[in-house]
Amino acid sequence: MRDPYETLGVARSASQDEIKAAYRKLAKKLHPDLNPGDSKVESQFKDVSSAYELLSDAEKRARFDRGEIDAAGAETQRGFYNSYAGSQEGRKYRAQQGGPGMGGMGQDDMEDILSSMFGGGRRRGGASMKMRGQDVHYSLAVDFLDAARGATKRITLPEGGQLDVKIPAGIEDGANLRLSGKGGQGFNGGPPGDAYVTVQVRPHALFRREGRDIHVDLPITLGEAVLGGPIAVPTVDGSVQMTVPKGSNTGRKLRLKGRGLAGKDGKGDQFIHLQVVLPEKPDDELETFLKEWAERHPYDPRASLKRTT
Amino acid sequence: MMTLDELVVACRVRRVEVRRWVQAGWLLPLEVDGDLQFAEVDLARAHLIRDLRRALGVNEAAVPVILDLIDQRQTMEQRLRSLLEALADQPEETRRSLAHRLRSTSSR
Repeated sequence: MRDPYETLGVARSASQDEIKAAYRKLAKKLHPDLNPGDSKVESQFKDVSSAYELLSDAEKRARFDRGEIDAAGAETQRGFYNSYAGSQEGRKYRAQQGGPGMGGMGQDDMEDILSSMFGGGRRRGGASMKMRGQDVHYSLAVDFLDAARGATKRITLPEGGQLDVKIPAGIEDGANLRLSGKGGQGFNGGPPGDAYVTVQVRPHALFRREGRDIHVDLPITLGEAVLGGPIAVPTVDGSVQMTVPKGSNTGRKLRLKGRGLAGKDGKGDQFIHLQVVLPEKPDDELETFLKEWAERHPYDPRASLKRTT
Repeated sequence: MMTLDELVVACRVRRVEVRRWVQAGWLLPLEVDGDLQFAEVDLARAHLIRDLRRALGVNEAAVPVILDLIDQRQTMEQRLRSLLEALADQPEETRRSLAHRLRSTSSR
């Protein structure tokens, strides 16, 4: 990256106020949302912004001046508002504006242009024409367990009004729901549009989804691994008892049939990946026992490694 | 979609500021079971508002005016694009006569 003073066009002795003034001037000229259609401004704006971030912080600036840090600032990942200009997501902002010619019907409404083309005034020709309301699109994030078990989510819409969205059990991340008739109002007795809801499923700290199956890493004690025994296993529908077989190693996979997610042809399964965990604190008794035991029972778990290397 | 906390971190703004922007209608997140959910476009717009307030020193009263103008410009651009796409599909003769007409308009 270039020298931040050079990027902002200020002297190394510039005051904080001078730096701020220089930054404002450049930001006005280069902000991509205010200067659309120029692909060069975006990277320039980012350079100017990170130069300002460095120099506007007195402490960072001093460290830079002493040569302790370089100019490669933390480049923040960001999207610009303009890049959503044609998106469904951004429609809510364009639909609410009240400027002349905007009609209040949303941005895709070409009626004004169409009526001008046929010699009419700005008003749409068929004032009595039946028209279907617009379709609306929303994205909705739901928790993993809500997606697994099914849930009803009440959405309060930005423009007011509420929408109850029924999340079917086992819904996949990215799935689309269609709520018939829940879109924009129709005109002159026309039917309303539909609402489309894209569902994002948030990841879970414990459960992983693979198709209709659920995978879980489950820690077990040394005793449970060697001797086997009953353990409680969390599933998306609550805790379930199961038995760890005697002599279960780390990596052993157990299956709970029908404890996965609902799908078209029945429920998936839950897979439990066992992980043997030693006691948190060293234990004298265990150490003494193992010293003797290991001598009398040698085994080589790395035998296969030697063969392949 | 992101939560208010995630937006605050990504945008490096204070929670109270974002809440004010939402209350003023500058940002339109969804409210799901009482929690705010922000889409990518909301995050990009929050960045823009932050830049207007901080980098450009725009005062609070002017922010909605600027946002509105940007939205209007985007709308116009969208319409122009649709119109140009429709024109590109027209027969060559139509396009020629239109070009002719536009040239004479611009030289007037």
